[in-house]
Amino acid sequence: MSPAATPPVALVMLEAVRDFAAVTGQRRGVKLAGGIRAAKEAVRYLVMVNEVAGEEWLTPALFRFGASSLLNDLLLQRHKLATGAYDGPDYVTVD
Amino acid sequence: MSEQHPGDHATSSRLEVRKTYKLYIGGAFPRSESGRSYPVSSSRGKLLAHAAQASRKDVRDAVRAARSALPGWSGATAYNRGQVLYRVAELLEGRRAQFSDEVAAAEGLSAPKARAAVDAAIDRWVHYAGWTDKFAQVTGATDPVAGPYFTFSLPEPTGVVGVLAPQDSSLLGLVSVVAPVLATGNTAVVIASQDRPLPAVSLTEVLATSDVPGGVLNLLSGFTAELAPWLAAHRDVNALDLTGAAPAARADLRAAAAETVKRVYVPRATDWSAAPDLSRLRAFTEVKTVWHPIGV
Amino acid sequence: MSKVFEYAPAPESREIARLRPSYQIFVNGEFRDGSAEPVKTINPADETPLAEVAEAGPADVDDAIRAARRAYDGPWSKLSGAERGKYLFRIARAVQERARELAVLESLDNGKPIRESRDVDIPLAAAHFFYYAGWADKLEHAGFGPAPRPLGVAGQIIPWNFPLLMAAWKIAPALACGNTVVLKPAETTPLTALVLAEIIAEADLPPGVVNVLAGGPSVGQGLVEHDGVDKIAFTGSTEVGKGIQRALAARDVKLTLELGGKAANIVFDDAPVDQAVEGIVNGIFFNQGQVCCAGSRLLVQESVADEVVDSLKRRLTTLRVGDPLDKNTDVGAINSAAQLARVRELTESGTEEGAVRWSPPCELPDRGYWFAPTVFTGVSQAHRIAREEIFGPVLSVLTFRTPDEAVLKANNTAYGLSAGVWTEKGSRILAMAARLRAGVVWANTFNKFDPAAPFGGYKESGFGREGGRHGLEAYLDV
Repeated sequence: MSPAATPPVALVMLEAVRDFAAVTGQRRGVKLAGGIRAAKEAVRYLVMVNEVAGEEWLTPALFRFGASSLLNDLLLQRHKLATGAYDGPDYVTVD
Repeated sequence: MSEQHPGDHATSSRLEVRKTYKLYIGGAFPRSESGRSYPVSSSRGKLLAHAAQASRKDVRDAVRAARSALPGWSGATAYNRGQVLYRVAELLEGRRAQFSDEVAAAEGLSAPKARAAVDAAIDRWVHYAGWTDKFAQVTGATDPVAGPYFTFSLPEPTGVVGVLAPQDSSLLGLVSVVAPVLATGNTAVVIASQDRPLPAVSLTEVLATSDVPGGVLNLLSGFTAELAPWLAAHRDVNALDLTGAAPAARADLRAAAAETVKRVYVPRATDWSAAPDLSRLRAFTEVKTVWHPIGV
Repeated sequence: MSKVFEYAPAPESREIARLRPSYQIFVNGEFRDGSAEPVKTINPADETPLAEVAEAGPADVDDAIRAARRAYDGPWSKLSGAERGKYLFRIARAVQERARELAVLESLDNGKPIRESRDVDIPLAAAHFFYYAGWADKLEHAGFGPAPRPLGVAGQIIPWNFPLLMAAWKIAPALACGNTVVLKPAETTPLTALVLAEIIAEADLPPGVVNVLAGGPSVGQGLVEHDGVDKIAFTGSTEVGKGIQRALAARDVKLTLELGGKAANIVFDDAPVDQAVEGIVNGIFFNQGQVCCAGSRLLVQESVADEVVDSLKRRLTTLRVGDPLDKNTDVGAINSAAQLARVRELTESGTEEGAVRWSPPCELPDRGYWFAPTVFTGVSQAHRIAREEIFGPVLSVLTFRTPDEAVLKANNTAYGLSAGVWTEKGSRILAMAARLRAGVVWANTFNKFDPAAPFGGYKESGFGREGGRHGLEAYLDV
């Protein structure tokens, strides 16, 4: 079993914090870490947060990604959106 | 049974006790609620007996009995049904001589031909008794669906079947239409051959002394054209076997059946001496497909 | 809709459908105008016309059946099963090749979301051709005797809810068994069937083996009444199915019917709620509830009824109703004005008879045929919305206490097409599956279809099965 975040795992965690909030009135945050590399993937998880836990969780206090390579992909995507051209890994730093 | 008939001079010193031929409904032998009966003659025109002339209310009662008996019969294991049906064949075997006399008289067959027909009927009954716990393996399947599901398809009995028994073949034909209905777990309301009902009534005596639960098979003697439309239109009957219907009567019966989307079986060939295929077993079963996801 | 997170539209391209101004019917290997007045087929999502479609008249019905007969007596019956199979494989592959085009065309003509036509309808249609292609040369192993014969000419009438898929369900097994066909797609959804006819023509199928006649009920009636057909296969409403069974009473034409349903989706107290809710939603809102096997009655165990219904309502607030061509859309348009009127009438009866109606907040487009997902609680077995098939996105919720009560209520209908069971207990799954009088039982899932899995009804949901080895029986003389 891989230690990475996967959609089923995320789903269960989000359902759990939703149900916990329904019972206790307290909100708990979720951090998904491990293996989320692409912005596209991250957007899917944001959709899941929105639809399962609710839009109240769409704030850094209650939801975060723990993903270092994700930041680079976000930068690459931003370049494509800004210029229309595909970007490459040489133009973002590993550190 | 002796060869005496009404009208014969009593040649022996002993008067025979004549049988009253009644209906068979819910495991009991009532007369028709209409109180009617009608004469049944041999193929040569000699009066054999009077048979009960069933009415639409008898049809109604028979359907009710068949519906009540259905959960128990269809819920029994296939093995159990097979054993019960096989026992019927054991009892039929014991009455070979009686049935041979009755079939000979009804159909005008020579003694050897009548015996052969009775033997074939018993063997056919044994054949269907052996199908009960195999049919599902031959027609059922697990379905290799394109996804993580366990999916299987199995035959189940249709329910209450209305059967018009063959007009001519009073035992072999009767057994050939009735046994597959019962073997597959259905219950039946059978309208016997109009002119040759006596062997059918004797068959019900065999059933009554066997382990076949009351109501699993119900038999009505009478006029096919009078009774069949009530059966065809009855909304608690699931399927019809129109073997014994006159071809001209089929259209109206099928039209009545359409009101509740009954399954209607009309055979093509009726060579009762031929080994049966699976069509009569398939005709009264429904295929149920069940899906369940596979995953930890 | 969310203030923090709004979904951008994700429209599929309409151009890919290669919509033409007009479409012709397909008879004896050729496309031609029909002898009746052409009609415009419209996009139910916005009521705009899509194309003009030729309509068959009695002369076309006669021509098509004669063409099918000639093809049957001639080249088709002389081909080996292996050769017949290869034609079907060609068609399967061509459907896969043009999958995207067909999916967009289907969504335009039917109103269903592109995600459904793309992910369910078209792939399953191709799969049906692929599956039955393989049977064509193996009929002697199918359990119907050593040399089962086809019936001859089959008239096939299909509904508008899964246009291409229903065409595949009908044509594939018929051809595999050696029959020839005259197919009538539904009046409001002729386009994908007519493009399928193009695919069939390009596959070089001998002329007359498949004929496609666009038209209304009179064309279907013409097929049923024509004495040149050996078989009629019908999928549609129970009422029309009974009419066909009646119409054929005086003739020895083989008939199979796949009719309506009012399926019970049964949720027990031990069912995982979120999963059951997904199953409920799929059961009644897939294809806008316009499905014969839709889980239109939710039977929920009393002890969890409130929790399940609350969870269901919360889930319904995330359903997206809108443009069928938007890849985000969950629920599309109702197929026609007539169907929408029926859905409205029955839904109003729910309120009139005392059930409690609820819909999530929903912005419906002002053009097109739209109906918001609707849930009724406080429903009893006697209510019309519990007995009559609505064929729309309307769920009736009833409760039960014991498994026996669930079975009793589930079976208390003249229909018997499908049922759903949600429970974690394996033995209960099997017990329920055995006792439910339905041709398809989905346990812990719903609305799953596959060409290898037989599908069909008990009681007034019809007789005969489509799919699997059992699906061959409908097209063989056995």
